[in-house]
Amino acid sequence: MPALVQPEFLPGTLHLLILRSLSAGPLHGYAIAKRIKDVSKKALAVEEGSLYPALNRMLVKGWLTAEWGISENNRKARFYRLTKLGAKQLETEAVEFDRLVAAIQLVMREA
Amino acid sequence: MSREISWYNEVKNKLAHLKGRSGFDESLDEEIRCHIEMRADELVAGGMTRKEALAAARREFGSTARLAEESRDAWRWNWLEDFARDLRYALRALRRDRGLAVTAVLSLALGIGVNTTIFSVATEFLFKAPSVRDARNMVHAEIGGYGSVGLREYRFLEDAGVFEGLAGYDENAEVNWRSGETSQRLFGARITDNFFEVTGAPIALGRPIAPTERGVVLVSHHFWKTSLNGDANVLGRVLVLDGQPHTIVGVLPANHQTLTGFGFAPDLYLPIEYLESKSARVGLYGRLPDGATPQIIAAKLQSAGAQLDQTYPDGDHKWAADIRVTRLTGIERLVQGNSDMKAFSAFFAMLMFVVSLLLMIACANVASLLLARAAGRAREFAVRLSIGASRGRLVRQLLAESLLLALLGTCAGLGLNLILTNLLNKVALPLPVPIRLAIEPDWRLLAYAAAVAAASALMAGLLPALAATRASTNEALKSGEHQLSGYKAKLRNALVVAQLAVSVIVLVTAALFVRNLLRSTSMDPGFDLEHTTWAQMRPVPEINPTEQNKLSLIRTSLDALRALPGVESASFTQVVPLNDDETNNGSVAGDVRAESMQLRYFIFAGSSDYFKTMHIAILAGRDFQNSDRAGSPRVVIVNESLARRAFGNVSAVGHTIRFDNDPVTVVGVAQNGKYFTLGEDDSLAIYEPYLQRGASHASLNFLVHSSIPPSAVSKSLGQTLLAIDPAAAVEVKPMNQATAFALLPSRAGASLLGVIGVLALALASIGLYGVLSYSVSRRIAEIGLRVALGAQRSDVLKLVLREGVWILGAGVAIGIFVSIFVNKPLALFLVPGLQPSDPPTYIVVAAVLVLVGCVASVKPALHALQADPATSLRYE
Repeated sequence: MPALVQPEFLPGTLHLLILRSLSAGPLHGYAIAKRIKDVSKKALAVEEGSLYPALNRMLVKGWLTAEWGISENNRKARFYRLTKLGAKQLETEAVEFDRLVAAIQLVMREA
Repeated sequence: MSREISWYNEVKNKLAHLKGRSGFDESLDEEIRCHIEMRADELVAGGMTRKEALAAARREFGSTARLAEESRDAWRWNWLEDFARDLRYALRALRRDRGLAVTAVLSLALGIGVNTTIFSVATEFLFKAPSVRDARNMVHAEIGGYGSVGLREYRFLEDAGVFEGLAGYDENAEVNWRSGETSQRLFGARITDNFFEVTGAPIALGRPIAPTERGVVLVSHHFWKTSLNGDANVLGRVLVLDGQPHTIVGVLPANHQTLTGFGFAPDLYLPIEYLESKSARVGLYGRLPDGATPQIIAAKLQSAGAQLDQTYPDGDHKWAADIRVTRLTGIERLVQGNSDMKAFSAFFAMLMFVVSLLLMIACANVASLLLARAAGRAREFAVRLSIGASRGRLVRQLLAESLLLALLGTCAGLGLNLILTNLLNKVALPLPVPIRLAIEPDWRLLAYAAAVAAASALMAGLLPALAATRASTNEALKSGEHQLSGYKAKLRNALVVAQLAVSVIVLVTAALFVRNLLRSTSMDPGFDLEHTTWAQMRPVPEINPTEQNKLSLIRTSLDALRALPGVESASFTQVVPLNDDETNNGSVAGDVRAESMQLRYFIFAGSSDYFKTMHIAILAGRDFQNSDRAGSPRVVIVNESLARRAFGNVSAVGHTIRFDNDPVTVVGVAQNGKYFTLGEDDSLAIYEPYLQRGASHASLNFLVHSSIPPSAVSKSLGQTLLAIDPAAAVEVKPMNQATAFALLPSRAGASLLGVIGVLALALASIGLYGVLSYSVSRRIAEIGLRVALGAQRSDVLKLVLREGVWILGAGVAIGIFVSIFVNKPLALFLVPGLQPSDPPTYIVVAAVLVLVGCVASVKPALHALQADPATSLRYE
């Protein structure tokens, strides 16, 4: 198994990943981390130590709301939900991210 | 998304978070526990035992302490906490530099203290609301061009129902208070029965005057405290006023403000007694009906005025004309008010401008100090910048220091404000009307002080902060000396130049007002002030009820006064020049011209010998004679200016002149003079025999010209009048002391601005001295070197003085140039003949500043000369 990549190598990426994971519907913290790991085919690992502060920062900005609920296997969990503001933020950040990646790839290929 | 919205969201979310903060840690712990449980569930599914799985999940999760800390950080009020840290740091920095802190705070305290005091006085005079319920809805109405009307008209208008309630108020009522053996003249306000009902003015003790109730009185708090010794059982006490017993039914609160405003504070409120009297006049004060504006009311008053014109026709005068309805509070009163009100507002605006300049000078001083201090910390800043501190962060930190200084300065300044306003409250103004200030700190003052503190912090701190953090890291790190870079030195010099320029403006203003005072005190009013004594006698109206009684009283008194030793002549007058004014604005037509002119002129009504007594020259014709009485042909004496306007070059004597259609014969032309203010120029005036003018005032004025000094004659004058009417209130004063009203604007302007000017000069001198001595200390090594190489003392002196002279010259030149434009509007307050661009004033101000500048330069220069070359070279 290749070494897990920490997603913070580009600033703001973690926020983007969290926003994207939540776009399908509310998830709790554990599920967010798992979703990112699974979808990236285990290439990206979100450390819990970064995940929860990031979630709190996004709560402050008003991109997310949080409420307690019951998880799929009947455990108490705190679910995060994307707000309208968060959805908008995801849109703009996704566009910018694509441009950034494209630009980096261009440099890597051509320079 | 705009930054403001995101900032707003953050604040909102953080505020919401504050409410649930206590549960935050537990909630986070719970969330972490759930997370670990879920991971453990997964591991158990992979084949671990529950216990092993939990331990593994915990291990994987790692430390929860840092996570909790960072999560909590997200909710912090970073800028607020940064700010608090900056303030703490600033406090430490200022403690280290106590000298600077004390100088800066004192400088700001002076600037802010004086500034806020003028603000307090201005708001007291201009914006203090009268003590009425819902002051926004009270208006003063003028109708037919008159500010007050007779009772007949008042009642007509009240019945017309234009207002929700219309009260009549006569602020000029005087009464004699008989207390023991003496009578004292009191200032009262006569009010209609509904006054307290309409205004809702609060009463501290007792009750208002009931409808139709007579022989009752309300007293002011001041009168109760000072003249009735604050007697707790004052209600029911009887005052003998104008010979009639009046029962005290109420005491007004200490903070009572009359409808007149401007600190006008009568001793008493009395019901209008002479309901049928033709002479009683009241100002109209009404309450607006719901939703009505002054404009709507003015329109309704116009139709009421038209009905009034039909009911009581009054010659050419039309009540329906010249209607004016103004609110009693707010800016409208000042904007729509009469010209006196405007001049008054303009005076305070000018004062506020000048004290703002003073504050700017103080801020420049502090900025200059901070700039010098920043030089000493250049290395510290360079290091911090080079290790990654942002410039904004450093600027914020430096601004925190100036903010702290400004806050301390404002607190001290507010202390000064309280002391000064307290003094002002106690000062009895030398005026013929009772004006009492009751300045109290209020929300306006606090809001203004907060704004001033913020503005001072920015004015004093921004430039030095920007200059100090100006990125020249390399330079500052290389140089070991603590010295101003060329840029900072130039900035500091520029500050002093600006400071000097502003001081010139303040000083020129101050000097102009001082010159104005000197001019107006030495100004010839057109009559003899030095040998004239004014005796005012107020007989009790009830004892001398008829006009006939009063006339015989005047005749008896004049005869008695003329018989006194030392008295050369005595005369009676209804209006005392420079103290009262009676003017008319009406048509004037001399018989040599077909058309009439609309003129404003003063009216004086005197007895025989008026001109002889006042030493006013009769240029043509004659003085009044005893034969100018009621029933004999009407005569008038006009002043030169009016004679010229009405008759041109033709001699006026013997011609007929019509004042609003009344034909009278001109029997004399009198020399021009000053009639109400010393500032007036070329005013028009007419004199009529009082016996032909009719209805006299309640107070009788006798003017006496004596061969001995007024002080020697005044006692016998008073005794003589009291012997004739022991119940009368008699006041005697020399005419040269009775010009207070006329001189008040000049005196107030000169003393206020004189003090401000001296403060400005002191502050600017300190600034100049600081800069020069600093620049010398910077060059001690250079000077040492020069002296060691054989430079003469005079060379060194020249070197040091050159900088000072350059700064001085630039500052004074710019200041004078700017003042010439800025001071133009001052012409409004200056006596005729004195221009705002008065050259002597500018010369004196420039000379004073240059002198101060030289003194400020000499000490540093001497210091430089005394420097021992060996020591100063080692200093390097």
